[in-house]
Amino acid sequence: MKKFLLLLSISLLFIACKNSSENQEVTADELADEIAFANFGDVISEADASSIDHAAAVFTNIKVGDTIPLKFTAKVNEVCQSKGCWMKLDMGFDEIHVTFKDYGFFVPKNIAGEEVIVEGVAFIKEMGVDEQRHYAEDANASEEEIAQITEPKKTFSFEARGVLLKE
Amino acid sequence: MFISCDSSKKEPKQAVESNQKYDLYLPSEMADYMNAIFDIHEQMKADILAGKTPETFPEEILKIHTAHLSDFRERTPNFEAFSHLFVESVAFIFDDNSEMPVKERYNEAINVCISCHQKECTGPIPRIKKLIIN
Repeated sequence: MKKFLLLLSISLLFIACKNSSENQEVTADELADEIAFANFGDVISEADASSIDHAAAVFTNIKVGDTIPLKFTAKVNEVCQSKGCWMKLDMGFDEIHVTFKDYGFFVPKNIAGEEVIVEGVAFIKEMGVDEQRHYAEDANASEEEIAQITEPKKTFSFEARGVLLKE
Repeated sequence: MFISCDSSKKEPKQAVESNQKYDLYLPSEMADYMNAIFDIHEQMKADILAGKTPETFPEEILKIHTAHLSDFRERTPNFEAFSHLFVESVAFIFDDNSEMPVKERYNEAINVCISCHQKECTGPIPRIKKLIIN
């Protein structure tokens, strides 16, 4: 109950922050010691989040054009170092490229290695060379690494409407 | 053009801790500009769908030439070229002498945004596409 109230309090702070400038003034340090999760985007709960193994099974069976609602727990491998506007989640044999619904929120740039719960839709995307290179630039890849990207790639993709960051 | 890599929709709905535990992106002047012109075009779309013809060129559009970008971005030749094209295409929406339907002129401006983002930053494209009038 306590956790719920704390998450609700933060959610109200989010709603009150109508624009970006105001948003940066919001602080949550008084609550930080007590909450179990930081919530980014839509308010979501940790309830019924499946494991990364389940998510991997879903992803491996998705066909191009499908969108599958999904909520799961995973470890963050990498975050966009420009803005935090995407992150890559560890799926063992591959990674899941996560973006955020309507470009409506970002995550902290320093959460690689942390555990998150994401809720949204899973799909397969064929990512062109330009887009792959753009993401590589965001990840501070070297020019040599970027030059090695020469072919479109099918990526396990996920559009999150909300993210919970375990604290 | 609306939502460059310098922006996000209304920016993150998230708490920011004052102890700097989280390294969060701080929106630039260009980010705020992009959000503002997104809202302008969203209203324009609603007006056109309601059968109204937009009447007044929004002067705020011109700030694309001066707004400061985030430190990690720069005004590339591609961005500069598309900036001018974008302003021209928005002005064209308000051209009373045009024989092209206003819906098509409006969509042309949105397509300029999308074309620019395909080169500069693809992240906001799904959101920008929602501005297209089908």
